[in-house]
Amino acid sequence: MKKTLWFVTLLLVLVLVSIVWAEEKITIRFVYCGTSEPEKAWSAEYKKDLEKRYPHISIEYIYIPWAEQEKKIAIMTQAGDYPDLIQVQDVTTLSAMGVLEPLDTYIDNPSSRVKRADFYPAAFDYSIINGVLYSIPAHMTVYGLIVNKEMLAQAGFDLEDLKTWDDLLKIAEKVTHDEVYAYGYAAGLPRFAWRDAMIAGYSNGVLIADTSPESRGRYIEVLKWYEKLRPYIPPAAVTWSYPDMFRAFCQEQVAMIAAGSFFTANVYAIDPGIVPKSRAIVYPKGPSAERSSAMVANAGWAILRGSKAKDVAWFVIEDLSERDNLAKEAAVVGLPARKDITIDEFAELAGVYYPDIKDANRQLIEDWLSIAANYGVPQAKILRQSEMEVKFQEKMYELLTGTLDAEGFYEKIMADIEEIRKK
Amino acid sequence: MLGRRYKVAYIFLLPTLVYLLGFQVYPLFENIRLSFTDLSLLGGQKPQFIGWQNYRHFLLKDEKFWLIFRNTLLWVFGSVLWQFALGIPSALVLNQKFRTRGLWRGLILVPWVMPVVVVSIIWKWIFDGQWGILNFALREFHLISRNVIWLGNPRMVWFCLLLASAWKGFPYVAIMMLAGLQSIEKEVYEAARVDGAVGFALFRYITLPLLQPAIFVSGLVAIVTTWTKFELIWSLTEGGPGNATSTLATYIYSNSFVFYDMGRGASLAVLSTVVVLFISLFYVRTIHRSNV
Repeated sequence: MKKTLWFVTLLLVLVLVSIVWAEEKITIRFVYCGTSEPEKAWSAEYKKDLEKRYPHISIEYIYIPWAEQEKKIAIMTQAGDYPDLIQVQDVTTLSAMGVLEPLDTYIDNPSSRVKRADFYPAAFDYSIINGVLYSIPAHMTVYGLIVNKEMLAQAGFDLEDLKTWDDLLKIAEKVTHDEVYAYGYAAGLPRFAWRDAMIAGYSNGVLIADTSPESRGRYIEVLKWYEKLRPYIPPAAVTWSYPDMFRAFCQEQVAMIAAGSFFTANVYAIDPGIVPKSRAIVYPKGPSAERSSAMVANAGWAILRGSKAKDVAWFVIEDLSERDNLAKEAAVVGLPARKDITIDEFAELAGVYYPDIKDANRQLIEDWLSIAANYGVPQAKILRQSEMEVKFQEKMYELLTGTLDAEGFYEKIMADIEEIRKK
Repeated sequence: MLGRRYKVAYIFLLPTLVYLLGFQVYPLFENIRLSFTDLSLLGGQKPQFIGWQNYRHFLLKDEKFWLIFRNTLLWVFGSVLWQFALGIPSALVLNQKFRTRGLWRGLILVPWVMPVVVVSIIWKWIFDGQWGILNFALREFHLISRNVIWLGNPRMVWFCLLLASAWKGFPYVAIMMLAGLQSIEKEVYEAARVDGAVGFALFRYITLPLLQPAIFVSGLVAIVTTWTKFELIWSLTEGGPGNATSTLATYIYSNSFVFYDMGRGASLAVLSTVVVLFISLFYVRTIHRSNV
């Protein structure tokens, strides 16, 4: 009888303990947008590592590609389904939807393991909208001009010859022959048609969403720049997306492209051999700028406002932002957003994902970090940008096919942007 | 006794009724309600009732709307005509007796059962202006000296889209026509031959009139499905260059899920429904009248 009683009591205790334990184990629903194999591998490894170190936390990934992220989140949150953590780039739209949790109180808490000062200022600023912090950067994206130095050398130039738009035109004239062109432009999709012009705009001291009369001259210069570039851009570029542009660059059908520090991750699967031939420089200076600027953005982590486990989500962000974890994640696709990670250390980590081009990739990492340090400015955050992009691309298509001139483009796009802003 | 029998019938109907109410009727009325509001996911404010403003915007102010409306008509009727132009001859061939007929009847369904995204990728590769197979073939045969930008040329792009759409949709028409052909009695042809009908006359005066019921049904289905078909255009051109290949379906998507203007997107969806309803009614009445 006594034995049975003991056994029943023990069983009860075990059941109670397991119930308490099960209740304490918290599952964080984590929207992760990296869908390439190295990114997925990193995410699986991180989950395993975190759950081992903190057995009471479990991660459940929801994989959503970047292109779908905002749409899916809009639908999920409208239906009251709030994940806890999300990987984000531009937080403008999501913060305007009111679905992101402001992170100022978390980061400014004295016990926070994440400090504002840990990050490159330009990258960190990209997470702030109207003075409110919405995400913690993980990796930094720097934009510039990527040049095939061998194609340049064959035309009798080197990187030092590429300082201004006029220099680029001189080189373009020499490089373009038969069906080889100087400048690749993914003008087929609104997002990329706009981005290229944003990069060029920064090099001439103008934001292409700027409708102020003072910027008119600079703006039209940017549009005229594309008119001048037209003979040196492949005709098929009006239908290109980023993968097409990168493929053309890898096949040496174009010598230069305006893109970002995600270049290696994008071209590696197409042809790793292009990396040793490539260098990144700041986009050459336009006629009205004193010096060129390079826009800097970031990808990082945010908490969804409707999350029921915000504190645990923040705890995971703190863990993700630890020096070593952040460096590992950033090494997959970009540059680290933290300042305290050395180039040697970072290049070594990136070498795990890009073993056969380790040295060449290190050179590119140095290039990008140098651009960020010397020319980097936070990328402007523009509400309703995707709507502006559609209008912009529509006119850029006409400009590139010779059916609209720069002045006509300017008048039309100003009216469109003003109308979108009025909403 | 009868009441009890009906009760059982109603119980069996209930799940369907609940489904229809929940997933068809309610969303339809909710969409109509939203179309009279200024709901934007980016506004940060509660949606306000704004009457007919969204409708007025598209019908009177938006300079793109009528271009997109015209594109939609071109897309729907162009696709359907091409599908019939390919589907009827295919059915006539497959209705003949030949050795591998069974195999071909199966193979013809391949485009129809393939996922739209896969079909789009295949056609994108064919029409690609830089690396496309079509340009490659034309250059090999010295028919062109420079690549043609098929999907970037407003004159060519519709030809490409309609070809892709016809390829994807014609097997459905072919199978429907084949079923129709098999239901025509041989005696009718024999009688016509006795009367001196041969070749095209047989097709014109016997086959085509007797195929009318099948043409009517498959035509209606093809119009409605093409009207809402969005993935093919979106995957091939995203409605571009500019808005050159935007249709109402892509425009609804852009307004709702790219610009997050749910009110405007909803009003476009209502307009689209009304137009397709009107076209269907007109089609049904015309066919009905011609049969009478």
